[in-house]
Amino acid sequence: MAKKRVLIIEDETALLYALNAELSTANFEVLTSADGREGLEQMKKKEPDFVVLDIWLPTMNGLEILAARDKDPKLKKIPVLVVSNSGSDKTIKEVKQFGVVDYLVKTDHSLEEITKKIKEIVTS
Amino acid sequence: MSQAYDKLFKTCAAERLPIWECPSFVFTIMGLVTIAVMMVTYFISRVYLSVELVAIAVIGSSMIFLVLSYSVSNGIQRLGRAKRRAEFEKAKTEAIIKYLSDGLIMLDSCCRVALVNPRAQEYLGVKEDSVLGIDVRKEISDQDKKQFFKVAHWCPTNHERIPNKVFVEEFALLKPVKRFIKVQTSTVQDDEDKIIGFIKVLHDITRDKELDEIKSDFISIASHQLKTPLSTIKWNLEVLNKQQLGELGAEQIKILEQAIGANEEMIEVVRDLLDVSKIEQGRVKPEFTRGSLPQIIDKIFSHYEPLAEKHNIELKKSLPEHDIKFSFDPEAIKLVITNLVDNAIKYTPGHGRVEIRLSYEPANNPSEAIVEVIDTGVGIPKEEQAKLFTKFYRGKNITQMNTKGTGLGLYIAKNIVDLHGGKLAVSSVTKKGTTFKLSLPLELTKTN
Repeated sequence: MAKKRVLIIEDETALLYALNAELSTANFEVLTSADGREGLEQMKKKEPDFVVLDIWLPTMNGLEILAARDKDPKLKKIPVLVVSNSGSDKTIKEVKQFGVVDYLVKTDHSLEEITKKIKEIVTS
Repeated sequence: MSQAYDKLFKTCAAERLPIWECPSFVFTIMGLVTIAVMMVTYFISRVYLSVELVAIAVIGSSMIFLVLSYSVSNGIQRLGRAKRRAEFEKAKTEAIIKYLSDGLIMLDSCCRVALVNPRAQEYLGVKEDSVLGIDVRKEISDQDKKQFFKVAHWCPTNHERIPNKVFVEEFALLKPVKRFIKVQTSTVQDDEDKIIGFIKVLHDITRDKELDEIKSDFISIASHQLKTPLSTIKWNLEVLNKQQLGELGAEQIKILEQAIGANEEMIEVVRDLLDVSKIEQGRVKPEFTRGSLPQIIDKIFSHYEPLAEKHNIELKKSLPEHDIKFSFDPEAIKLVITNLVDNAIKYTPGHGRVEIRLSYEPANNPSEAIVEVIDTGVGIPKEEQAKLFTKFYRGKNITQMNTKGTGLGLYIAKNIVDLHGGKLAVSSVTKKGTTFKLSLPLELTKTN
């Protein structure tokens, strides 16, 4: 079975590193982007099977990416897991309106839990 | 007659003047004495024709007059002082009202405007004489006065009672200057509890609102700036701990696990602090949905089972046969029960027991869901139990145990339970154990 492709859009390089290490070990093909606009471009070009998205990003924030995804039927099919520390109720509400897999607060979840969540969606 | 008498002595009585100093009384006596002396003098002069007796009568009456005059002059002085005092009191009250830093609107018992102090005029952009005598409950079409009547509008009808005698509202004013005000309306009653009017105090809370905004900005910055490095540490330690990047020696694993533990504690502190700030800003609003407590308890139970086993603690749960679904905030209540179970395990030494018990009471017609978390732990000294739900409070015996904690968990839990209209109570015996009892109403009695 071909490796499933996961795109991580996250500007914190140390976090990107940890997620990349974890998902690569879990047998995913991992693409990364540390910039909002560039991440959206990758989403369009590389057609990943899954996207892990942060909210606070340079050039284009996570909510703007979700809004752009909402307008593109092709992108809308890609499941997105939002992983962020911006835990304000307002942001969570806004994110959930875009029909994402879940909104996880980084400090509350281990890499293992996140990987498990991605596996559940990608293999279902 | 008695009415005339009352009137005669009213001023004197009000000033607690002795009767011999009361001018109205003394003048009456003086009048009577004059008549009496005249009559006696006339009688003596006609019957006895004695100059000595007339002289004695005149001297005697003059002395009585002298004493009465002295007495009455005292009374007059005192009444004058009382009048000046009353005038001073009036001037003082007027000055207080005029220079009060808060706005003040007074209404009479028929809700008509009786007074608007300069500060209230400034806040609401109206002149006092343009609104005096108008019933505040009336619809006003005049644009200039609209804001005034919007703010002053609330006035209870005859039979309505103000809860706790003070009614509080908040308004955002746009003109003449943008500001936020808090309006407190209280009833003014006379000695016989008869309502004689209403007072509205207008307090400028613009600065408080600005501070709230700064605080909430701070929270969002803190939540991001503190949580980002904490999550970076968390995830990278996890990668190291999984030994994907190379095997670790026993000593390295030990150090790593300590670092993971410390980081989790730090995350907990930040989370608790953010929760407390949210509670204090009134931003915590439970999201009520129909939920099931057994499911939540099951989840918590399986989460804590390994930890309990590690500490050699017997973790038990007891659930009722039939579940009742009711309206509550599942996430928030899960946090409360988790907190209680976490504490119970933390403060129960090895070979102890922790039980989570759910019941619906009363059994024949349930109105409450009761969750009890019972442990056989160190207990809470009686004198400390009252302080248990206050912010940053930690029991003396547990700080000696060196078990870590922020002292915020129970404060947060209590606030969540309060928002549900429920109760959180504790009973405990030192060295025997503690029971926390959480009761939640099955029917929401108050809207949040």
